[in-house]
Amino acid sequence: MSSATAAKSLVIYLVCEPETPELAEAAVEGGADIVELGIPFSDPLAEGPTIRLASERALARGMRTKQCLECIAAVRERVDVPLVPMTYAAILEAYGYERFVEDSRAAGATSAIVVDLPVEEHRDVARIQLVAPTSTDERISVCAEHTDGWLYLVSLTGTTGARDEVSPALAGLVERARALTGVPLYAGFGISTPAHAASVAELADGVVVGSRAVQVAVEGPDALREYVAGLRAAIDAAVPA
Amino acid sequence: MRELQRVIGDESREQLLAAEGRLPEVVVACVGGGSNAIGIFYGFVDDADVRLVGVEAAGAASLGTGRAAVLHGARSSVLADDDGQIADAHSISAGLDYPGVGPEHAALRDSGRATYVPCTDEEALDAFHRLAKTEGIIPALESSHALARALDLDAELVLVCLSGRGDKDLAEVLSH
Repeated sequence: MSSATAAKSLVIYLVCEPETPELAEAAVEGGADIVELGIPFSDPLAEGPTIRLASERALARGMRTKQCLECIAAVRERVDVPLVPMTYAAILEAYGYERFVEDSRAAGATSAIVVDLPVEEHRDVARIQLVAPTSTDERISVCAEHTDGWLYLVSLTGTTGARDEVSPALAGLVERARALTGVPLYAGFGISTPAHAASVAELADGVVVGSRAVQVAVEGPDALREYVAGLRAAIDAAVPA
Repeated sequence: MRELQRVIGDESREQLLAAEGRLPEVVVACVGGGSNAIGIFYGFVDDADVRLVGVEAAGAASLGTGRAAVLHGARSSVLADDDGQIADAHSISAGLDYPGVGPEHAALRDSGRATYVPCTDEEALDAFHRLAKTEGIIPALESSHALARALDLDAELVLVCLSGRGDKDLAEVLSH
């Protein structure tokens, strides 16, 4: 089934590294509808061990903001899907908020995710807002109102990283958010297996997979393509387009 | 945080007035993340004649050598590089070994209400030993930074926030 006709979106997260253009292409070939491209930050407070390690590795390899924007441009040359830079406010604070928006758009990015930038701050930076099971209804409404395209549901109270089960808090969060907003709801954090992806697709409009994709990506583009195809197939089987 | 910690400032102000009948000329506190310092400063922040001095570890001087950056959910003065990546801090005292600081300290620095000065590991160790020998009080290594800079002051009545006890630091001190 082609991703263009799929009912549910599959978002794959990768950290910007020299191999990422080739990996992102493989993820899209496997069925990713959107690729999040992590700009590594030294103190990534939302990340669990896998993405922390990958971020440290990327920084040690010189993947600073400028190199990451070049990486996004290189990914853009290979794929047509939306590319969403995901990073932390410190990066934009140093680079310049407006300048980051301009340069990332010029590189081919769509929107952004700035994990620790509250919705009230820098509204000129169009971005996907995040809400969590601990977010109040009022907070979910404000974030939905200002989000850019879809609302990122953090499925659990914790950091990113593969878990054994999909968070039991997700269903309640989806239910609350549905009652408050009509924007598409994509869920992430702790989703790693095809079975997880399928069960999340039954609840939300999109599935975000990060840590496990970052782990598989170390094995190369073929392994990543196969892994993403497995997620895609499970999602499409659970919720046919 | 500040409202809880300011008990230190409110009570020390009250006790000093009772004991000495006047306010201190200077209040000195160590600053890592800045909680004990903001607490004692807030007892005196409206007393314009009282100087407020924060003492940072020289290797973790986020106020002295940092830049505007975002760390742990706060925009403040942070040890960071040109890309916003957080730099490593160093201090002999765990409590001061932090690359950021509570943003209100950055505001007090910028308004000029408080000043922030550095203190090296060696200077803190000297102050640690001096207080232990002369008063029989073992100060925390964090507080020893404040003591070291208090010794420099040309003032008669200085209030130092002895923010912690040094039992926990003996292994570290004895290794030097």
